[in-house]
Amino acid sequence: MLKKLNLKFVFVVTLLLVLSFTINSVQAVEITFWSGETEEQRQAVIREMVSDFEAENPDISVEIVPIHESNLPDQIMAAIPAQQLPDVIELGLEHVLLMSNFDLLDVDVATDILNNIGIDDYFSGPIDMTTLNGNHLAVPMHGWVQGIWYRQDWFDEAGLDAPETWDSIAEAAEYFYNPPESYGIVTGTKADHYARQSFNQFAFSNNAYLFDEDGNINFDSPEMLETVEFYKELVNFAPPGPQDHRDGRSLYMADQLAMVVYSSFFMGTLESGAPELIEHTGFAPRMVKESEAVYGQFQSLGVPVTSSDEEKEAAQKLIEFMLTGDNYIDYLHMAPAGMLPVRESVANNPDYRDHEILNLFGEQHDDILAALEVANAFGFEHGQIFPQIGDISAQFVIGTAFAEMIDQDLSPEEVVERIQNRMMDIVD
Amino acid sequence: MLKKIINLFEKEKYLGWFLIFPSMLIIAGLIFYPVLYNFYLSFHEVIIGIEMSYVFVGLSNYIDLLTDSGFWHSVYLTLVFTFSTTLISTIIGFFAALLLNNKFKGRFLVRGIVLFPYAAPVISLVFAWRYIFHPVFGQFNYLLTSVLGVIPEPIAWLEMPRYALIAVIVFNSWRMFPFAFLMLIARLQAIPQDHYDAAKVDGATFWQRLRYIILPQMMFVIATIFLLRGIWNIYKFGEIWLLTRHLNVLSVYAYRTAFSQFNQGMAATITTSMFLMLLGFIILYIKKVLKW
Repeated sequence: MLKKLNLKFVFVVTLLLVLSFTINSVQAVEITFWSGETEEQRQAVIREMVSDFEAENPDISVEIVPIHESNLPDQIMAAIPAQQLPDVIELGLEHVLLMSNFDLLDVDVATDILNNIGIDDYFSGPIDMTTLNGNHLAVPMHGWVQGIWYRQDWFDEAGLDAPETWDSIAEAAEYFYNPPESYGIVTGTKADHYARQSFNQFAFSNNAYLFDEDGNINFDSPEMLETVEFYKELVNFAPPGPQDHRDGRSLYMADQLAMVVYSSFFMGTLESGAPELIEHTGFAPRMVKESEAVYGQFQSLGVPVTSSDEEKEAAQKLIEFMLTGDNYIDYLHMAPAGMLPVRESVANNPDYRDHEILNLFGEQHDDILAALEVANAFGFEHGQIFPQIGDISAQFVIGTAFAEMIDQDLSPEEVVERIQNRMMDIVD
Repeated sequence: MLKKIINLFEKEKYLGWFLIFPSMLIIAGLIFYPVLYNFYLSFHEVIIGIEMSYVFVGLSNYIDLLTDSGFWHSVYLTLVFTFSTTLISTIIGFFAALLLNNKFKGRFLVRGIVLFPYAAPVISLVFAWRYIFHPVFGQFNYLLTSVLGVIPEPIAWLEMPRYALIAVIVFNSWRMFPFAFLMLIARLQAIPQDHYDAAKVDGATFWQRLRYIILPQMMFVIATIFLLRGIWNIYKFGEIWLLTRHLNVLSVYAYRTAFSQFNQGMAATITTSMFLMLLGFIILYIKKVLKW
């Protein structure tokens, strides 16, 4: 009896071993994809796309890890010593440079992918901003433009001009500031990326640059000081305390805010949160003071050098799968008018353009696309790329100083001095 | 015969070592290795890259840290946070225990509800409290401005560094008082009824009973709660980080140094200093307060 049981036991164990070996040999490559899309609805679209990819490539399995862009620098820095970097990683421009500063991006894989998709089809902006010393650091995926979203109906009723110049912004912010019923404007003043991004557009519109042409930190220029003075003035017409885009979004949807600095994702957000406000909302992507400024960002996909050859090959397949054909259009339609195409053929593709939300934008969608072409950001100045912006942006220097400005009632001169010194410390 | 018995003892001794070996291995791997590795890192500059490299810098991390005003500010914040939350949560827990030690209908249900802040997942509580502290929509500001009229305008409690400490103390004291309650009610129930009866015969008031019967018997438990909460709160990170990014207690300071400033060596120096400070506090506390 015992012998029989023993034999059965040996048989079952052997079978399990053989089966597990077979399963392992079928699922040869497992890759990890750090996605920057943390919202549940967008995650659902990505998960479905990845399942389709896995069905087409049964030898590859993909683990998706959603990571918010504000947490990305911490996660990258924790993953390097732990040797846990993913095989595909979604990166904003500054994060591309942050990874590149540590020599972590595989430029050969990125170049291969760009050539396979067709590099000539790309708009020049996204390619230029992800290319350093002739090397393509990552594969641009989509872009977005930031601007001031405002209550068109309130502006019309008050007879105010659209918030496109410093004067019109200041006038409207003061006019609509009537707390606690309504506030004038929300712009970034917390220690996060949003603060740098929203301030960036004000700075460029005043010809204030973070670097001089030789790459030295130039935050203490008279133009930058003037911009901080204006920014502080605007903060007087914001709700109490430091603000971020979430605060702005909630207040706008609660009918309590006239203007919010927000990306082109705002329309999609309104559609799901307060669709009745869509027809009453205007968008000013360009800001004018000394010159016209558009702030834009490009999201890219990178492949770290730490992956094995098989993993890189699988990563390349996944990226090409997501960025071509209907998949790419489905990806962009996750946030219509928020995620803008970086390839000309897609921008003109009727399948892409025929979407309910995009139709709401009408001609303004073309205007936003055109704005994306001239968009810029700190660190991408004077026709050059300054990779130090990767380290600087990871430490939220600008947002931290604005939060301190509100908390400690700092003067604009003190804010500029703090930011200049902290940035110089980082660069040193 | 005697030799046989000795042999048996010897064998049992080896068996004992053999049996505790797996536990020792786990403890060594999970506790001693990280502590020692951290100690090792604190004497090095860690250069991050695909190939990590370590440059020995001697005591320079420690010298830089001790002359860094940001570090001392973090020490101050950590001590204020730890002491006040421990004190407040113990006091609330103590009075909750006194209240719920009385017999009344639905006592078990109320006891269960009291445990809610401690048992609920921290992330859901943080979301609720972020809303409560919100400068425009939050009930905390509404209470202080419109109902009580204590402050003229709403305050961004979690976003202003000078107020964030107060907000975090309020949250942590609320979240942790059930722990003190649980420990204290267990001890309270062990006090014999005779003591209360005898005090009643002597005509003792409620405060006299509290002063002469309850408190002396609870002192050891209260001191233990202080010790445990002290240890836990000095290292507290998750709750604080989730609630606000504007309170640089030591754990947050170490995290920022490691992952925002990319200075792993200095971060290890900060945590080693925390460890040494805490060790000193525990030894002193055990000898002087608990008198073990």
